[in-house]
Amino acid sequence: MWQLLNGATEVLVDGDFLWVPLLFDPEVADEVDLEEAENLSKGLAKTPTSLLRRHQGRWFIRSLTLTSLVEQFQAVYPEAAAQVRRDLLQAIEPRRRALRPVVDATVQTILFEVMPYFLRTRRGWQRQSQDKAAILAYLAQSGAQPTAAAELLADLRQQEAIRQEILHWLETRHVQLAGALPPRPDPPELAQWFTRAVQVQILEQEMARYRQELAEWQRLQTLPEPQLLLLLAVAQQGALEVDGVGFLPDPKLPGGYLVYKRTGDFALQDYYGRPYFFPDCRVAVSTLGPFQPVVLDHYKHPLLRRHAPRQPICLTDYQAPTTFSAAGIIQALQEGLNALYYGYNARKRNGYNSLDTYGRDLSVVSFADRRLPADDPRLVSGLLEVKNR
Amino acid sequence: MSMAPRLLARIKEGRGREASPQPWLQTAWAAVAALVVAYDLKSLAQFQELAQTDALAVVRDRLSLFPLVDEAQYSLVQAIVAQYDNPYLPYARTPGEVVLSQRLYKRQPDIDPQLLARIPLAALWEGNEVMG
Repeated sequence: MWQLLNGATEVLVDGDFLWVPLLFDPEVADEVDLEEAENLSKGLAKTPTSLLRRHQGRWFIRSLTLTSLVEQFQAVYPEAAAQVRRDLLQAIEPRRRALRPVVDATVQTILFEVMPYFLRTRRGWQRQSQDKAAILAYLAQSGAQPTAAAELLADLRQQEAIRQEILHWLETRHVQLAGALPPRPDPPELAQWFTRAVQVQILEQEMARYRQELAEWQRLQTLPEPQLLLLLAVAQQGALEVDGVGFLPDPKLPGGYLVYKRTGDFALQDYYGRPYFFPDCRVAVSTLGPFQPVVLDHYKHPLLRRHAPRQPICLTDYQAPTTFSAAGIIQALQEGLNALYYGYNARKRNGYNSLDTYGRDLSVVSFADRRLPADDPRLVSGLLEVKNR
Repeated sequence: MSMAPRLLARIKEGRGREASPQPWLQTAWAAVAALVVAYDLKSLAQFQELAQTDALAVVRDRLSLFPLVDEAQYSLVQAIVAQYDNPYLPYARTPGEVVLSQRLYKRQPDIDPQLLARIPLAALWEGNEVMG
């Protein structure tokens, strides 16, 4: 459709619609004859909804609207649109490069979607009917502090000034371009009009983006101090932990984060009912995939192959999601936690290693040092729960 | 009791026949229109000139199966079809074969359609000449 605009084909522009010359085969010719007969019977009154019209002795058929062509151009030709965008925004490119969001989209997902899911049962705090502000207020109770808050704030203010500058530049350019753009073009200037229209559209998108970012910044400034400090700390360190749920930058994959949940101390029992102690560990999922739960710490467990850090947990029937989403991360963490707590069956002695040795034992890890006396005070008082009882 | 399976079989057979794909045959109009598009012809005279020089020419690549033409070419296609109309015309793949098809049909009107589809009209014409 866009090739029509280069002027090789004759087109009509009427209102928003492009009309292109009708092509014929015998069936189309029959249709045209029918249309003509109908028009004659109605006394040549042209129906406004008609798809066909005669212009200077030739038949034309209605095709797409100019608006839709402009709107869809970026989706259909992303590379060409990117080139137009680059050329258009060349002047502000160095300034744009200095900008970065306070917290990126991944961290926002973790903060406002993943973490609240695991925080729901603590201190009567309910996940339902909570908006971002309430979540932030709750998370701010952790008292996370950035190391140089004043400098960070000054840096953010500077970024705001740059955003204002860019927005001003965009608005001036938009007025220039949109002012020179006729509402509907003549066919000879169609290609030029189209390029202009795409440029104006890109400018409008960029303006909307910067306005939104500025509004976001305004909102940040109205936040109570602990919440602002929390966000600054997260932006600076890329890490946070509240009530045993947290995230930290992935040391192996730059740009990725490890979202984790602590298991807390727990106990498992073997075939003979003897309890074994398992200390607290962090079950984590990387935001860049694979979305397979791992145990971050140096740890041993029947469902882990060895005594080592960052081991994937043995799971059956778990289909890891292929893209990052809050639901996927939550599911992976829950699968991992459930496997550590309830996945080991003392009768089947499943997993890579078994707690007790029997027969020809193939375990490479021994759990003898983890065994607890049956009358251990933590077990008796209920502080330590035997999960696979 | 004995009728039911036979009836069922007959119904199934009938439906199977209805559903079976029919061979698709190009129309004479589409064959000529594809040539008009491929050679970008403007007039009947141009077509006839080309047909004389191009009688045994190599078939153009990728002739359109469902051609669409503008108004001027539509009337040209109609004129060509009207002038050279014959049952062998759908099998013509070059301008020369359009003219040849009429002469071939006059000489030998009972060639098997499968043969027509498989062997170019020009070759059939030559073979006929040799045989004749």
